[in-house]
Amino acid sequence: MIETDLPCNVFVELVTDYLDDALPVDQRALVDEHLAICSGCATVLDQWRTVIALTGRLAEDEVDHVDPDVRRGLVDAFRRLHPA
Amino acid sequence: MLVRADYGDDGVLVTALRQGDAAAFEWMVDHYHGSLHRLARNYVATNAIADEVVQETWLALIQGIDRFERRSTLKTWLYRVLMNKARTRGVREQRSRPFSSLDGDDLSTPGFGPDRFRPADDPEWPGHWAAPPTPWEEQPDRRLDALETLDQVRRAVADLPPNQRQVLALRDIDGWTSEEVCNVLGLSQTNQRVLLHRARAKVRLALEPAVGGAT
Repeated sequence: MIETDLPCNVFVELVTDYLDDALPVDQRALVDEHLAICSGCATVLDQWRTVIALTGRLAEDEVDHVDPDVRRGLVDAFRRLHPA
Repeated sequence: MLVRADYGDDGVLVTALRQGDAAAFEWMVDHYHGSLHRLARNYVATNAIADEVVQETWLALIQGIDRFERRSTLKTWLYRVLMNKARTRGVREQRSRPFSSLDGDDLSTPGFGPDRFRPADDPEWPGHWAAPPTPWEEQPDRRLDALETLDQVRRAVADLPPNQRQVLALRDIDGWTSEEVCNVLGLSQTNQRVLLHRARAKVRLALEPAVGGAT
């Protein structure tokens, strides 16, 4: 085997660091080389990106359940202390 | 104001609030109220107490904006105020939750236990795939854009331990940077990424075919 190659069981621990660009330069280079030749790890990386994108869609759930009375009360409190 | 100000710019936002621009305050409430509530809920026992904590946080902003010193962004300041209030309430209710990075499962990334890889003494490829994952696009009946898939994600996120859920929500739902998350939650970069990694791994696992199938 190639001496410098990164084992797949190490890559799966590093996916999030890799996507955050938080790996040291030499380790990042090893990961890039490995991804070019390992379809299993490339699949894991794809799935990580899919998970991040799908989780991001949950943001739509939060638009937005501020209770209208609470919102009005807060804005009134703001206006009292900070008259325009 | 005829031209809508860019409240996403912290300098613009702080100045507008100090000048009594109620639209700037409304913008903040609409952007952060839900997320603040979710964060508070991790520390206190009920939704009602979380409501109170968020309310107190907004009042602290209203009262404190004139003295805000711009040593951090207003958003970071706001979330720190919330965290302090929520933790204080949580402690009073004996419900404080320490922010540890591990949650009792084993140390490997969920879904990628030792059985997926060749053993360390494998003559050819130690540590490489024994059972590589199948790309989701190649799996029959897999529709990543289906509402059902989004439901699976929602349930998986809800099932996460609170500390993992919080980091995942701020990073992947609210789109915060790792620096912002570390700042507000008081985590090291390393701890933050461990929590995020495990959380994402569990969501990924929830999207794999039913238990027993090849993953």
